[in-house]
Amino acid sequence: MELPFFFLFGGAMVLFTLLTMFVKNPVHSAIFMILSFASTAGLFVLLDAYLMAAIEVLVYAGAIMVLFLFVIMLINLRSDELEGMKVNPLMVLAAGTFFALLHRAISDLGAAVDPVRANTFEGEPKVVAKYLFTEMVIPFEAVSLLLLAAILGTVVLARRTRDA
Amino acid sequence: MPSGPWFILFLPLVSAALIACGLHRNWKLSAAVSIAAVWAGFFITVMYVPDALSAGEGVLFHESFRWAGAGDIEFRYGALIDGLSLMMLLVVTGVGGLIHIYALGYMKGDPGISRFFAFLSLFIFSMLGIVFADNLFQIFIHWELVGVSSFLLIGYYYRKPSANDAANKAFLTNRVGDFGFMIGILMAFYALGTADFAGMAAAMTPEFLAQDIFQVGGANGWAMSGETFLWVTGGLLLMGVMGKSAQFPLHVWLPDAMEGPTPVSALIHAATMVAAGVFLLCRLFFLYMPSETAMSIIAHMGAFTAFFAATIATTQFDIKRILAFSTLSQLGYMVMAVGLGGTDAAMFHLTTHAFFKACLFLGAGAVIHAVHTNDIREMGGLRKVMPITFWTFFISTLALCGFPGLSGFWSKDGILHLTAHPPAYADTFLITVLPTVTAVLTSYYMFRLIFMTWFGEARYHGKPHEAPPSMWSPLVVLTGLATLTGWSFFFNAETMEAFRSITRPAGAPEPHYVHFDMPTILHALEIFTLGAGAAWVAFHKKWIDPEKIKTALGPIHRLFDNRWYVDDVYTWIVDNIQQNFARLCNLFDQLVIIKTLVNGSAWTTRASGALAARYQSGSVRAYVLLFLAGVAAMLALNL
Amino acid sequence: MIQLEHYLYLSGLVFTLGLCGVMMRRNVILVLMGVEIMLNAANLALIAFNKYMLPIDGIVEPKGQVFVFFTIAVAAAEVAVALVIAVALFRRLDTVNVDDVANLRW
Repeated sequence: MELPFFFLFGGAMVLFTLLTMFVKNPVHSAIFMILSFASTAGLFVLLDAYLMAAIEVLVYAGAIMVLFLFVIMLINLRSDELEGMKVNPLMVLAAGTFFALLHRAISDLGAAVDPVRANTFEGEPKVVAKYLFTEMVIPFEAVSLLLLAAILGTVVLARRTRDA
Repeated sequence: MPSGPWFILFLPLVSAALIACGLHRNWKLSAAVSIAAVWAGFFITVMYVPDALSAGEGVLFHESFRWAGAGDIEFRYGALIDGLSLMMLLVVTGVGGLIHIYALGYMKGDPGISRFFAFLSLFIFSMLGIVFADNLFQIFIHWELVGVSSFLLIGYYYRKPSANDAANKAFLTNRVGDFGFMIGILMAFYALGTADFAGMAAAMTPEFLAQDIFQVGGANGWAMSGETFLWVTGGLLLMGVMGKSAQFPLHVWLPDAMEGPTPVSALIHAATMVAAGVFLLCRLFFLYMPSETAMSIIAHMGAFTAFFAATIATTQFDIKRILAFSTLSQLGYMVMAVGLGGTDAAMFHLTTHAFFKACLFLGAGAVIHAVHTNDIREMGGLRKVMPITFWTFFISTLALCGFPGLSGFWSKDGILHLTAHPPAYADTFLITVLPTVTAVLTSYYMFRLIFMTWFGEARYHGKPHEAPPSMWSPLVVLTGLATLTGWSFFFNAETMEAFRSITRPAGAPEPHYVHFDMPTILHALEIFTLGAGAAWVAFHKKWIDPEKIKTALGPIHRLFDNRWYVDDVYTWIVDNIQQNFARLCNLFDQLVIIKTLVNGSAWTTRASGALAARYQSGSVRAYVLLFLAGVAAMLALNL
Repeated sequence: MIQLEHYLYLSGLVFTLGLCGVMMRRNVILVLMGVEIMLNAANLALIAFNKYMLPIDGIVEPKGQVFVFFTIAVAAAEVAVALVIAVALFRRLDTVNVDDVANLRW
């Protein structure tokens, strides 16, 4: 029952990722990237992570893509500067080696998981939020500090200095 | 509420701290605080005297507190008063108090007088810590503290290069002794498991001494028998005594220490600090007594030092140096007495010596103060100018020479009596004959000093005057003590009995009593007349020209005059052996440490940095690739 | 029947694709997108692990999901800062081509 959906979303994810990486125009790339993330959100739903699916769509589609688009427009590349992926055999070899290593890692999963049967946990917002605000409250606050630092850093970097 | 003895100990420290923290602006207040602190100590001490006379050998007061510790090892800081320490306390605070008063007159007008009194208070505190100590670690701490105080006071005239040199010499010489002392303490602590005197004495059972003490390398390895342990440890501890009590061969610092102000010479380098070694020997008598080797070493060292220093004293012209060598000689007597088992005789001589030698030094100080020179060739005829100083000086000299009836007679003859009947291990020429010869020499050099300083024609410059009352009154008191100590024993056998018993550590052999009988007196008179007469013939009547004796004695005189060349030998060792060794060390330092290790590591860092910098190409792509390689490596290693 | 391996291989494949983008695109914006893709692939693996982990004392804690939450937050922060750096770079050097930027040398 889930299998078709897995292949649907998974295939879409791979396809859109490939397109993101290969098209010349950055605006197109950004849109394909969002589609790739939407496919991921679909996979999250298959994995019963409803809250994370929602956040994925909200944050990436709503925030990050807009950010990317803004910057792309700000930079406004001329059409002769656009280029696709320049395939370099050495890099491909490196990526292939890395994937081989990942394959080795996946084939040896350890005892903490049951690779065949999924558990019955469902990522309802209430359950996840309760865990987040009790067990994980300190990392949560740490992340808020990190975001604050990022805001400050962004403001400082974006400010036009007089000589610029 | 801390009890009395703690006040004795800490009042001088408080005084030193107060002077250092602000009282020094007002020198009168500084002196008053310092003097009050030491006299308060004296009066508290006196309150224990009746107890001591009735209690005999027992412990009168003992408190201690935990000072520091690590694991099972505990360092305690204690105050122990028994007969031995009470005796020493009386000497330190009593003579110390008198010298404080004298210093008030002697140092008047000196710009650093507040500093001087602060140092004196610090010294008194340090010295009392030795006397009070109930364990070896406390003794060691205060041993070093008196070393520091002595250093500060010898170098008191710090603008004078010779004073600084003398201070350094004293300190460094003492370091040599203290090195052995420290090893001895650690050995004793390791073997006996405690540094507490009572605990150490209790741990030294016959069974303990019968076994092997330091076992290295299993059953067939090297081991130290109980007997060897005793004399090795005792000998190492004796090195501390050698340094502090200026025994041969570590005596070289004491004559130079006379660069300090005269009250310091009297207090530290005649009456108290140099006697600390003798005191320590008496304290540790239980450790030495079972070992004839150790006792023999002590006795012979003392006898030789006594003779050796006396011979040098006959050739010196500096009034304080003569007294310094005389002090060395008398300390030799005391150490020898301990070695012969006569701790009571040693302590008695220590006490009487403190009185008359302090008086002699203070008298010498008064003379120096008057004529502004130390050289006895530029004195002479001072008898008429400074009568009070002369008479106190003269009587103290008689006491030092053992003139019958004066304190030195009782104490010195107590020691000579020991040498006349030595134990089997000490039945040698050095013990049986030399001390008597030394006594003759003592009379000789002291009367040489008397005749050259006080009699004959005036060779001084300027107009000398009698010392002020603050200076001569302590002289009178000390002379009184030097005269009368001993008579009380003669008239009151019980007092003598009590004194002898309280200054005799448990287990020491029965003392030999000195009887005031005709043979003893005649013997003492013989010694005295021989020495003093020779001096009278040569230096007063001038029937024999001293120069002729010098030429007649030739090499022997040169040996004495150059202090047996000990200083020259040390200089040679330092110049030739130590300097070359230092050069070798420097070479090692330059080549191996600096060139190889320090510069080498810097070079390695720089070179590896230069190598690594090549990969900092600036290309982001290359960084990504390297980063990926790192992640892949980590992944591969964990698979 | 879908197994954990399906998700992990999918995640690994997408991760490698993102890596290729990071390594072989020269536009700094695209490099950043590659990084985002890689992060997202890792998120998928985390969620999958959470779904397939064995219960501890009968309870499955949403550790993986919370981890993803944090990852997204950190990714958002990272993207904001990285993009503003790209803008600053463009302002100063008038290029977004990483091969033209060789300032990061010693």
